[in-house]
Amino acid sequence: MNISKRQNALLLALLICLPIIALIHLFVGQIDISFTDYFDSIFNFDDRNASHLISRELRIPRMTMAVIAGAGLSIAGLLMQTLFNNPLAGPYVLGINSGASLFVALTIMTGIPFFTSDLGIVTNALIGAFLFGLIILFFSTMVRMQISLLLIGLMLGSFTSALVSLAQTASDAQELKIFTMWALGSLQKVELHQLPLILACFGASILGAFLVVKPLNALVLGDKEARLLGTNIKRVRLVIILITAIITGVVTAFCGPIAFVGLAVPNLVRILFKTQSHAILIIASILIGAMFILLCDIAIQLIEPHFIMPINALTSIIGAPFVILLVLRRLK
Amino acid sequence: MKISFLAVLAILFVSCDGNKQKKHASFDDPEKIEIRYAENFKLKKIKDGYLLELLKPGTKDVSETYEIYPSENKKIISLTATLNGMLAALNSQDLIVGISDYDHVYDSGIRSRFKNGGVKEYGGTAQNSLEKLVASEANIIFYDIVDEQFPNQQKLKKFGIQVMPIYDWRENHPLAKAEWIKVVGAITGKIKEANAFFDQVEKDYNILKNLGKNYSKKPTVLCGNLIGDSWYTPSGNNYYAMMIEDAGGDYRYKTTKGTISLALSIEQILNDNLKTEIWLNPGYKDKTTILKTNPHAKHLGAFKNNVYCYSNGMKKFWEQSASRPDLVLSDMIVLFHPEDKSIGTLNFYSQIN
Repeated sequence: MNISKRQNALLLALLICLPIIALIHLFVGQIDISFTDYFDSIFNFDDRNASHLISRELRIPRMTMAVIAGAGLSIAGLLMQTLFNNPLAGPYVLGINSGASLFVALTIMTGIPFFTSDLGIVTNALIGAFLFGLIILFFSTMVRMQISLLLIGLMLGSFTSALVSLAQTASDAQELKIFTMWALGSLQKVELHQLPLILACFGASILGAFLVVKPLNALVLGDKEARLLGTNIKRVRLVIILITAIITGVVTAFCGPIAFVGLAVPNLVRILFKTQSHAILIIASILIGAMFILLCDIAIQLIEPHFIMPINALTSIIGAPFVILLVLRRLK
Repeated sequence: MKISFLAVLAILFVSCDGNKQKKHASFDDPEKIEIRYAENFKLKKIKDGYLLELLKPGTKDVSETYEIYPSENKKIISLTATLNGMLAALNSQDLIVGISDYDHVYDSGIRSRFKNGGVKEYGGTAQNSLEKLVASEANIIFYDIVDEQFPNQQKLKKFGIQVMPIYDWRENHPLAKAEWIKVVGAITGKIKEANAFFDQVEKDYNILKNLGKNYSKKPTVLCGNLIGDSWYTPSGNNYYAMMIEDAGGDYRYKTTKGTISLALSIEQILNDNLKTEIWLNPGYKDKTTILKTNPHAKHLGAFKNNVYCYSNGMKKFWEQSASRPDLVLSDMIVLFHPEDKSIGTLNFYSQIN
């Protein structure tokens, strides 16, 4: 892996910043929590002590989920952008999030007796994300222009929104309420005992992403060149869709839909690192993506006493202008 | 020829509009009807009817004035559950020709008239059809949105259909909500019955309140649930917080200011309520669903055995709770002081399992 001094310094800075921001995140909230509280919540946990409960059951899972959501969605976006050779691709824009949302909506609001446990929502979100990933993949083989694929992704998003609306009109008040709560997006719903499952999915996806670094680098040159370099395009596409579906499905299932992170962060990483080496891009996406969501969540918690903002709203507020800037930059 | 055509047209316009014009009575010395708690309306007696002034909930300025002639109000469309309950309390549900949604109706009289075709569904305030409303030939439509005009209000007026907002839900005292029954009494020509009904409710409420005051042990109480990332619970001056105190409960946020809901973080809620004894109105019918939307609820002290909600009798609650705060208070006393067997059974609330 060729890495310049500048890239090295940048990565080092990010590596130092991420734990600091994560630590700050742990100490931001409505209640004052000390180092001792964290220590005791891990080694001398007392479930009648509010500080222990808040540290262990709320803040540690919330911080971990912020890291996983930011890093995971950024990697998903990076892989999609490389696969479709399109900087405006991402799980949200291409409708992968919508697929996960649709399946969660169908589970909650139509009473399909598939699964009712947490694992059920995750499984459904995964199936939805994977199915819509395959649909996008299918269309990508049929259209030549990049803009067409984005339009198809947007149409898929509209289509699923319509189906979700239909499910909403047919659902009772309680189901509707549950889905609306989920769709608002939140990092605080995750529980400590769910983290091992989430971390396992996340770890497997990251590992998978690193395993396809070479084919990803080859894909940047185009499908023909990649084939000439010995890349099995079909297999790589399937692996990328699988990784993206797992990450997007897990994050969407536990946090609700989080927009624009997968689109904005990989582009920011490319601008900062000026490289096509996917080993560097993946590491940087993990670090910047995690930091981005952590910072968003810190901001949300700081303004919470005055103004309530769901995570999905804040990422969209920051992400949408960034995408407009990106488009304008490319047009120049 | 042209002149005669225009004349006919003018006569037609005048006659179309003319028969819908209200009588303008003289209001030289209207007799005030006593309003003891409600702050969002004033009611005065005029010849053959009443003068109703609706006040803006925030400023208390007169927002709209209505001349009410009970003899004209033969057909009512009630798009608010509270009104259904109040009309039923005065045995005037036969005047109802329209409701928002049959599934939201509790009163058996309205339900059976719906089945017989005497009552029709018109949807919520935002979803109704102008043509259907006109075809109903109703005299008056009640709705419950503040600071927003009813869709096509002016057109409906031309067809002789009056629309009237009901602000009971913005009142800040439980008995103020109930006092809106006097408006319903004026509309239906049953003001005496409405006054008698309210006097009885007030008397019963105050008896229970005095009882609630005297309990030495006051259990701590939490309300509401998470919506998104915020836990919404009544402020200290909210009518519901007032009722908890009246029932001999110790509301956790009784010292907070304001009448609207507080939006608190789950951290704040956990920090304040690990030992709170009773949790009211979590918004769901069972614990499994509560945990689906709010998994951290299991850490609350009250979660194990003391979660109560009206969700199993939701329709009854929405229809009757405004006009019968005495029954809601009675439920709260039963929940807070189960050792006192003198109160009786629960009217709206049940335990969440």
